[in-house]
Amino acid sequence: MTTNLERENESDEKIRQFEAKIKHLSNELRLVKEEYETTSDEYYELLSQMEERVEEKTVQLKELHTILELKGRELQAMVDASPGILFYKDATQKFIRVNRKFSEIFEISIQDVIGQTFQDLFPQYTNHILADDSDIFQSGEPVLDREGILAFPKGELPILINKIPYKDIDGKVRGIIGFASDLTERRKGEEERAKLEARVRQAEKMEAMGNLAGGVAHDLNNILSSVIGFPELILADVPEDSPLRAPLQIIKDSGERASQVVQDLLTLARRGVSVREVVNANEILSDLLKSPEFDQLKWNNPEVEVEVVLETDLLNILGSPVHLSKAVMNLVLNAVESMSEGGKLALSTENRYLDRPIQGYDDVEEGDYVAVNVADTGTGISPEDIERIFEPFYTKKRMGRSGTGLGMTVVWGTMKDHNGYIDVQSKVGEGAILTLYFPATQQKASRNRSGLSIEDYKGEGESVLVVDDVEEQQKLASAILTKLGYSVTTVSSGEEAVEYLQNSAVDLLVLDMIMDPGMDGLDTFRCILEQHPGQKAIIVSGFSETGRVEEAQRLGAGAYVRKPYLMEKLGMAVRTELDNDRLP
Amino acid sequence: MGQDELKRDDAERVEGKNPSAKKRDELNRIVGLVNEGEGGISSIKRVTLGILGIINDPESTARDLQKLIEIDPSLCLKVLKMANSAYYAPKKRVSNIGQAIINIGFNNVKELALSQKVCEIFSKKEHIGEYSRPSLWKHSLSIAILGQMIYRKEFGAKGQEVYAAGLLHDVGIIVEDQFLHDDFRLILKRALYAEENLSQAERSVLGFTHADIGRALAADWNFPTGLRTAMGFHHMPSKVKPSLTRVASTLFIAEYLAAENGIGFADAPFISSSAFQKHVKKLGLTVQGLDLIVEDMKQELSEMEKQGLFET
Repeated sequence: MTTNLERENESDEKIRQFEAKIKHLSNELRLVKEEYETTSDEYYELLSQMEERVEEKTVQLKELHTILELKGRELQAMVDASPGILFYKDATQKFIRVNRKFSEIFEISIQDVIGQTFQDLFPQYTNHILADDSDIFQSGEPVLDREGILAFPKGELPILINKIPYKDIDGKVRGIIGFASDLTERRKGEEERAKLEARVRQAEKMEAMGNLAGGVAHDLNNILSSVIGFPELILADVPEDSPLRAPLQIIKDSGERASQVVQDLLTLARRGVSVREVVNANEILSDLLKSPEFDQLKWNNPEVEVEVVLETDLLNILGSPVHLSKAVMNLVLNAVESMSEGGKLALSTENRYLDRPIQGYDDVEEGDYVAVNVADTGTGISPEDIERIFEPFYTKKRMGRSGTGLGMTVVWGTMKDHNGYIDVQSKVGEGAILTLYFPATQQKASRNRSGLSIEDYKGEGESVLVVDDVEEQQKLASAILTKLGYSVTTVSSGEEAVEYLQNSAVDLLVLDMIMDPGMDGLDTFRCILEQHPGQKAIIVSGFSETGRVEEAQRLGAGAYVRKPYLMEKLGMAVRTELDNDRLP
Repeated sequence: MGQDELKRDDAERVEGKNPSAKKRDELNRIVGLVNEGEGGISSIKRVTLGILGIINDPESTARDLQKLIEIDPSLCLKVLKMANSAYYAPKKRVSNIGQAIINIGFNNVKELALSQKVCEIFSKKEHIGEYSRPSLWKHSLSIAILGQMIYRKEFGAKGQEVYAAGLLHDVGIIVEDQFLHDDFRLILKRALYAEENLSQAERSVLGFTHADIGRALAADWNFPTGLRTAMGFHHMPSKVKPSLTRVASTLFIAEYLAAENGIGFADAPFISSSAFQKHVKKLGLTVQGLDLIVEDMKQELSEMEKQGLFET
């Protein structure tokens, strides 16, 4: 019974437990259901709020994407602007960016390159300089300024390459950036620079030689004045049948030839050109063709045919006829000499408008030029020689036959003096064309080259003071002017001249420009003008016309006569100045 | 306890009746101390009040709760940490309070936030006999869980108020610990050696109990009336007015069950079994149902313990 009762109690207990459990579960279920229903609205609201946030983030992401894309395009434009080949590789050595130059050289579109390794793209190249960079990934060190050869479909290029690893924050190599520049251009540039430097050196050399020559010429001129001047004076006194006449004439002629050499040197010094006449190249050429030297040349080279074509209505140029003639003659001599087996010498003039640079000469301004062409069918000039033909004493000719070795240098100097240019075109074995370009002028030629007689410049007892620091020069000038009928006094310095004029007056001063030591011509003239306003004077000098000569002329001095003294030149200058009645 | 029974239909009067003037002044002084004490108990006032408001207001929304939690960064962090713990095991990582509400539920987040906030004041580790704040916290949490389970399982109600009441019912003890420390040590000794009920010891030493302090504080902080009453009368459920009997009796039953099962510090270890039986019967509960609930509670507590959810 007890067991039954216990069992009954036990089962009652179990039932109560189950009842409690059922009650708990059903209550919980109901609550959960309620909670679910009442709060689903809340969830919806929260969710929609989150959707808004997602939308917001999406907009932000889109903006970011736009910015990144723009940055990407900027970067591409930057790398495209590079003249060299530029590429980025990622850690697997796939290209992630290349520039347009890369795409051009390898003839492949940028899109096709991206995401590929070099081997993927060009399996045909082995050991290519762009192919494998695993050494950089391992070492983490950049490769800088390595020279190498870049093979590409159309050929090969010498290049200079830099490969720089880019690393993440922990220093691990994430990829490399490579830059290869074409060395061809750079090498060409280096060559060009060397050429330019050589040219500058050449010009400097010419300048230095010119300065030397100028210095020598100044002293020689003074010496030659006597060699030329005194025979002239003696000849005037020696009877016609004297056996001394011939030797004296030879001394005088030799002196004049020496003077010409000095003039060459002065031309080189680019200080000798004082004559700025309006001249016509046709006349220069015509005179040259009629000259005894040209006759002699033709006589010696009968197998050379000469052709002359002169442009009618040729523009005038400004310059020194003597120098121009000399320059052309030098070209002609060279041309003829290059045709020892015979050939054709073609001389021509033409009006030319220049609008392009002339080989070997810089600073060509465009404008009207008068061109003088000297063409031959001779041996021609090799390219190396063209570089150097204008150097002094650079000659292929036998020394002695044609003199000085300064011929082409004179041409060069003359052209510089005339602001002109030279064009040289030649092929070995086919001859050469040398063209001189002179700036054209619109001024009219007014030249009277008729010979003068001594009567035209005779003095009438006017008083002349010769101021010259060199004794022979004083004596020569004095002798010439005395001969011409002037009353001549000589002094040997500016200071003496001033002193002399304290108490006396002269009709004319013959004033040497360069005197050393003491006052020079200009200072002397200034001093004298203080006491004798309107004092007439002419300037003489063996040196070039300088600013000081111009200054003296501005103060009232007349002609500038270049030494050596010649009777006609000096006489005409003195006469003209004395006859000039202009007011100071 | 017999006296309590005599006054049981007198709850209205008890609720309105003023304590003696001296007792009232002393309680007011203590409440003033609590309110002035910086970074102490008063620091939980704003958030606790806010969550209680949400629990009590059927119109309140998940967004109100979200805002309330989000402006307290350390609470926000704790709630997210809990929401992501294996205890709630969310399917996706929860990274904001909105997601937490969706993933673990509006009610869960309310309770989680409340318990995380309240436990901030239970963090000091000083042992006096059985007492330490963490053990008092474990006690409070078990009362809260038990109370809520009884409500849910037996009454089919949410029981969030009783949960809050469970968490907060012994806040008076913390106040004593913090502001009346020497008296409090004496009270604990008396309770231990004289085998007195804690409330009896408190009355002997202070003239009032931690429940009185709790009620005064709850009144000052404007807690909802039900909560205030539950906090004030959790040892004297018969004294409350009939509409609040259920919550007070549930707390009383929970106190008994927690003490019987030795969970945490017990502030009322000597409740008579007959009083307990009476309240069980009054609420229409069964021993079998309560046994199941205690088992569930133990399981939940141990689960929470495993996840570190009680660390104060």
